Amino acid sequence: MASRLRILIAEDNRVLADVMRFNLEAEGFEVTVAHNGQKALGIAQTECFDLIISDYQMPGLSGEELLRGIRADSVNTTAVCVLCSAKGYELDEEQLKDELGLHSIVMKPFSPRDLVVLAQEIETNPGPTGLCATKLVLS
Amino acid sequence: MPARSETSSVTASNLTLRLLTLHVAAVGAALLLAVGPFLLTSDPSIRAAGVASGLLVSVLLVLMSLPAVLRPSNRIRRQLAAFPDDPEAVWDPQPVNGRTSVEAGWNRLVAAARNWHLLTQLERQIGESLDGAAGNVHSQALDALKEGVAITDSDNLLLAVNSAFASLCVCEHECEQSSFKGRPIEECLPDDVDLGQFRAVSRPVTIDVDQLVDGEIRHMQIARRPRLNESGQIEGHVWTLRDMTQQHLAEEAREQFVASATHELRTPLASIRAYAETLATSENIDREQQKRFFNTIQSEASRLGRFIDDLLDVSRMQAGSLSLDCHETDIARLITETVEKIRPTMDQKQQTFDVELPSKLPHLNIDKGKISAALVNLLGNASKYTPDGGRISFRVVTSGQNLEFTVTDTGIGIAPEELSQVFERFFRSDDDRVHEVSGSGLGLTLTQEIARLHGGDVLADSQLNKGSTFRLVLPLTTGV
Repeated sequence: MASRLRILIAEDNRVLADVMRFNLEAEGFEVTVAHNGQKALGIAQTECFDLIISDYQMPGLSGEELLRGIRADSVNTTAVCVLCSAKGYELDEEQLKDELGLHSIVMKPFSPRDLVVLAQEIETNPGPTGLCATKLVLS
Repeated sequence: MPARSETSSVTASNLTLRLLTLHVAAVGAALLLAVGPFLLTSDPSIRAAGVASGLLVSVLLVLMSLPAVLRPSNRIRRQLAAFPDDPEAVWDPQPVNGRTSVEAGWNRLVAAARNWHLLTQLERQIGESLDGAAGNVHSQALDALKEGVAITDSDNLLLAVNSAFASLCVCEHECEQSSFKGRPIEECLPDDVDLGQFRAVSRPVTIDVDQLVDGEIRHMQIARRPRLNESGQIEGHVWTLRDMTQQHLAEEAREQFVASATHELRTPLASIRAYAETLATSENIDREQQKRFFNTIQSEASRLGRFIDDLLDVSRMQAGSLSLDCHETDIARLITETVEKIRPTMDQKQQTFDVELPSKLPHLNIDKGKISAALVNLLGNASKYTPDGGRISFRVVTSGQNLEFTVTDTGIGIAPEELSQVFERFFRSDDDRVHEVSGSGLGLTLTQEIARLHGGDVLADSQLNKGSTFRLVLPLTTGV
């Protein structure tokens, strides 16, 4: 594997987090899982990630608050972020996407393959700043 | 009216003149008869003396009879002169003595006028009575409405309001229903509303506005429709004020319920789909992993099924149609069956499970299935929120007029600020440890409702990080 895409999953549902991790690791990506928003924010403030997948509704710190914190003050201000939600029509998707610079909002139930495909796309086209792995090598 | 007064005066003068003329004519005729024989004599002195005495007698007759002739006509004239200018004023004519055609005619006129006056008065009284009754009915009907109703004129000044309007209006000054007349409608509308929002004068307009009253938001709906006169022209408006706060709260509660239910349905479904797709598409997956994934799907599908059952029960509960199917139940047997059902869960987590029962337990007339489900829920929660190797005790005692089922654990406990919320629908603690296990937030709601339907209750006590105690109390009066 030339470069390992670094992915952070913030999901309080351990059953779902496990299967997401299984699918992404099976493709060779490097996956870190945090089971609540506060832990995820702590990790994101010190570690670089290319893709951050966060659940919307989590105890303590919600997905929205987590991504707001990541965008405001972390090493991941330009990371590709995806918000997953089991909520219904009450989410203002367009406003959230604009405000948090989200790649997309994925409604549960979703296909884990979609996340794998997205991760592959990022790996192929990492954007102007490059992948975390490259940055780490350079630093 | 002046015209009528002039007419009356003229009529009175003419009457007097005519009476005098008649009187003088009568006296003249008498004079002619009296002096006629003297005029036929040839002696001039006798003729002159006869005429002179005849004239004298006539003058005396006229003077003597004149008051009698004029008295009735004067009374008639005075009464006619007193005819009032104001058509609404009372005029009460009196009959006069006398037998002349004028007096008789006057007396007939007085009688007719009195009848007419009585009729008019009666008519007015009936009209006022009917108007009053109709007005009273309208006023009572308007006051019975929950909606505030106000009627304004073309200048948007209030003509009338009902009692609901008076109470919904947030007044700066006096708020009595009777004090509104003549005040501008703007004074009674929420601050955020101005009449510019009701530009379309000729058609109904409805606006919704939030109003801060005593620190709480009140959702108001204000509607205005034109009020037309008989020729179809707008002569003002009818305003209605509706307090929609309760409807808004009900709608919010419904949306919250749908949102929570959606979340709880999507969560296990997301796992089922993700694991099923993974099994279907992954090539490098060993048999052990396959088995684990299948078990997860099964467990999430069961969770989904339980949630749907709970959701239906909560819906029935809300509709008041969650009913009991009560039969005589041996409590000792019910406890044995319930304990056997839950014990494998405790064993899996290597938890100590103590069961303490009295030597004799009653038979109660209860819904066995629902009470068993309630106990399984309390024992299941105790196991879920107690770490592996912890202790759970189940104690049943008769206390006064009640049978008490007490479940105590050495689990994570509940924060004091959350303890009062544990029976609320869809409530789940913010504690991370709670989210490590699945739960819909409906179990305790239903357990408490089941106990209450039996005339009992469920009580909770807890200390964070020490453990919790849940007590299901059933009255022994449900015994058979």
